[in-house]
Amino acid sequence: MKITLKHLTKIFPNREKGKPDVVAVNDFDFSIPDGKLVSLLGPSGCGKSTALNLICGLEKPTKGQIFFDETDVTERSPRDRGVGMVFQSYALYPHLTVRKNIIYPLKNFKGDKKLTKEEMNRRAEEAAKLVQISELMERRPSELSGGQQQRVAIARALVKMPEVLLLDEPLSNLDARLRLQTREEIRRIQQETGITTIFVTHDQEEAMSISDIMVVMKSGTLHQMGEPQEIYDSPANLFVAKFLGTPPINVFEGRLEKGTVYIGNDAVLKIRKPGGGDFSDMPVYVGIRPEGFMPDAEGSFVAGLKALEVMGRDTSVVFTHDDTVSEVTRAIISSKKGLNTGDGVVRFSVLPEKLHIFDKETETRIPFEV
Amino acid sequence: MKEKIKPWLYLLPAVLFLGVFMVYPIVDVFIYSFEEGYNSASQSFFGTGTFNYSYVLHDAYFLRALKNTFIIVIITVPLSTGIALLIALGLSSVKKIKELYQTVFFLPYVTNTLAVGLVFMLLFRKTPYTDGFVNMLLNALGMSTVDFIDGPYWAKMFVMCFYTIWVVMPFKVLILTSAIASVNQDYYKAARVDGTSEFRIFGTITLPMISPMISYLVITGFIGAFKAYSDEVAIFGTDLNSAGMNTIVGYIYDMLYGDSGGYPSYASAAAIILFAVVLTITTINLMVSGGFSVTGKAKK
Ligand SMILES: Nc1ncnc2c1ncn2[C@@H]1O[C@H](COP(=O)(O)OP(=O)(O)OP(=O)(O)O)[C@@H](O)[C@H]1O
Ligand SMILES: [Mg+2]
Repeated sequence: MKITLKHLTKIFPNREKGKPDVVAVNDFDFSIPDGKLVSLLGPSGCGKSTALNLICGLEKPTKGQIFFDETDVTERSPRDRGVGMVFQSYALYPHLTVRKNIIYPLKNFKGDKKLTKEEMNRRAEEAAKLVQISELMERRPSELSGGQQQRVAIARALVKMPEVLLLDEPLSNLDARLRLQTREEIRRIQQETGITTIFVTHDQEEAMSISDIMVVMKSGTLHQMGEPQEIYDSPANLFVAKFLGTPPINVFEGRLEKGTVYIGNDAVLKIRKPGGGDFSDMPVYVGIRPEGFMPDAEGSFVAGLKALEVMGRDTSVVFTHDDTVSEVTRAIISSKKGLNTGDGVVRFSVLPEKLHIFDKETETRIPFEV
Repeated sequence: MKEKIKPWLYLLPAVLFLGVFMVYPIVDVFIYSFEEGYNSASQSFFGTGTFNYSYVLHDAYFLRALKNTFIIVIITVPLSTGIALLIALGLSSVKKIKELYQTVFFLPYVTNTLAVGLVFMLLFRKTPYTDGFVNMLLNALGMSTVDFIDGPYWAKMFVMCFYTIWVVMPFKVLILTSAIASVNQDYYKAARVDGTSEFRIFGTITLPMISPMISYLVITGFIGAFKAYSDEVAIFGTDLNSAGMNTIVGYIYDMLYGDSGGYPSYASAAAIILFAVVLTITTINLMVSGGFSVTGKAKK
C-alpha cells in the first residue's frame, strides 16, 4: 500500500509556561511507494516515533493529511487503519503465552472477518514460522531472549496481514551481533511478504543496510529522502553528511578561491560549476569522507600524524589539522604505501567524489564538477 | 563462626520485640482458651478442656456477632473493591483532574473514623425532634422513613456496610489508581493499534496487570473486616450487644472488660476461633489469587 503524507504536522504544546511548543513533526510532505522498506533516520527526539504514531493513528495530526493509496485515513481510528506495529519495548503481554500474544489481534476481528479457533491457530503458526519461533509457542515472554521476544512482536504485527508494517527502533534492545542478524531477518521477512514497511532507527548504519529508501530528519524536519547510496554520495546538507557514515565525515573550514578549494593553505581540488562556469570566491565548509584520502608523497593535503590504528584489512590514520571543525579527523586507507611518517607529517591527495563543499551560511551542499 | 552469629545479632532487637509482644501473647491466649473456670482474681483454674469453646459457640451473643461479622465481610469486601476499581478506572481516564480528585478521595482516609462515624450517625439518625438528612431525602422521594441507627436490623446493617465501604474506599482507590497508572502504556498502544475494544483491553490487559494489587486489597480487606469493631462503636455506641450490632472482636472485648466482664478464657477461645477463620479465608484467598501472577510464572 502506498502511503502519502500531505503537509503532516504535529505540534505538542509545552507544559512549562513561556517555553515554545514542540514541533515534533514539521510539514512532512512525501510518498512512500508500495512494497518498499523505508527507514526514518534521525537523532533521538527528532520526532520519529511521533511520525509513526501519526501514521498508525495513535496520535492526531495538528495539520495535514495521511493517505493510504488514494484513501484519506487522517480521521480514522487505529482500528480502522489496520496497520501492524512493533514497539521499541516490544509490548508483549507478559501474562500471555507466545501463542496467545500472536493470536491477540485476530480476536478483534468482527463480523464476516471473524475467525474460528482453528483458523486463528493456523495463522498464528504461519506467522511464527515466518519469524522462526515455532518451537516457542507455549512459552511466556519472560522466558524468551531479547531477540526471540522481538520476533514474537513482529509475528504479532504480521498475523493480521497488514498492508503497512511500522517498526519503532525494533533493534535497539539487542546486542550488536543479534542486531545484525535480526536486521537481515527483517529484510528477509519484508521481501517475502512485500508489506510496505517503515523502519525507525537512529542508527545510520542500520538504516543504510536495510532500506530501499531512507528519510533523514532532524528536529521534526525532513532533511533528505532517497536511496541510501545516493544520500551518502550526495548529501543535501552538512547535517546529513555528518549523520551518515562511520567513521564520520571530516569537516574543515575552507574557502573557494579562483575555482580552487582551499583548506588553510592547501589547495585541495580545482572545481567548476556543474555544466561549466567558475565559482566566485567564498568561505565554505569542506567535508571529506575518511575513505577519500589517498596517501601521496606529492599530495596537496598536509596534516600532522597523530596515530595509526590497524583495523584488520584497513588502516585508520588519525591526523590533526589546524582548520578542522570535527573532534577527530581520520582517514581510512587500504595500503600504507606512500604514507611517509618519518617527520610526523602525512600527505594525501583527495578523491573528488568523496569531497563535498557546503555553504557557510545555509550549510547546504554546493554541487560541482572537476 | 563469627559470620553466623552476626546476622542474628542484628535481628536480636526485632526478634525480642516480636517474641515478647506477639508470639508470647498468642501462645498465652492459646493456653488460656483451654483452661476451664479461670479466675482472674486468684489466677487459678479448675482443669483443661474444650469447654470454653463450646460455651462461646453456644453463646447467643457470640453467634450474633459471628453472623454480623460475616455479613459485613461478605458485603463490604467485594463491593468496596469493585466500586474502588470503577472509581480508579474513571479517575485514570480523566487525566487532568486526576491529581485534584485523588486528594479529595483520600480525605476520608486521613479523617478520624470516629468523626466520620459521628457524621454518619447524624445523617442517618431519626429522633423525635428531627428525621435526619437521609430520611428527609427518602421523604422527598416519596419513600417511608426509617431509623437507621436504632431501628430494624437491616437498616442498621445497611448503615454499617455503607460506612465500612466508605471508610476503606479512599485507600483502595489510591492503591488501584497507582496500580493502573503503573501499567506500561505501550501495552495499551499495541492493543489499540490492533483495534482492541476498550472493554477487551480492560479484561485482557488492565485487569491481569493490576490483579496482584486487587488480591492484596481483597486479602487485607477480608482481614480488616473480620477485625471490625471501632467502626461499629463509632456509629452505635459502646453497647453493641443491645444494639444487636456486635462483632467478633467486640465480643472478645466485652468478654475481657465489658459489663459481663472478666472472662479471659471465653475471650481467648473466641479470639482463637477468629484467628482460625481469618487464617482459613486468607489461605483460600492466596491460593485463588496465585492464579493471576503478572510475572508470568505459571502456577503449579
Ligand atoms: N505526548 C507528548 N507531549 C509533549 N511532547 C512530546 C510528546 N511526545 C513526544 N514529544 C516531544 O516531541 C519530540 C519528538 O519525540 P519522539 O518521541 O517522536 O522522538 P523520537 O525521534 O522517537 O526519539 P527517540 O529516538 O528518542 O525515540 C520530542 O522533543 C518529545 O519531547
Ligand atoms: Mg522514539
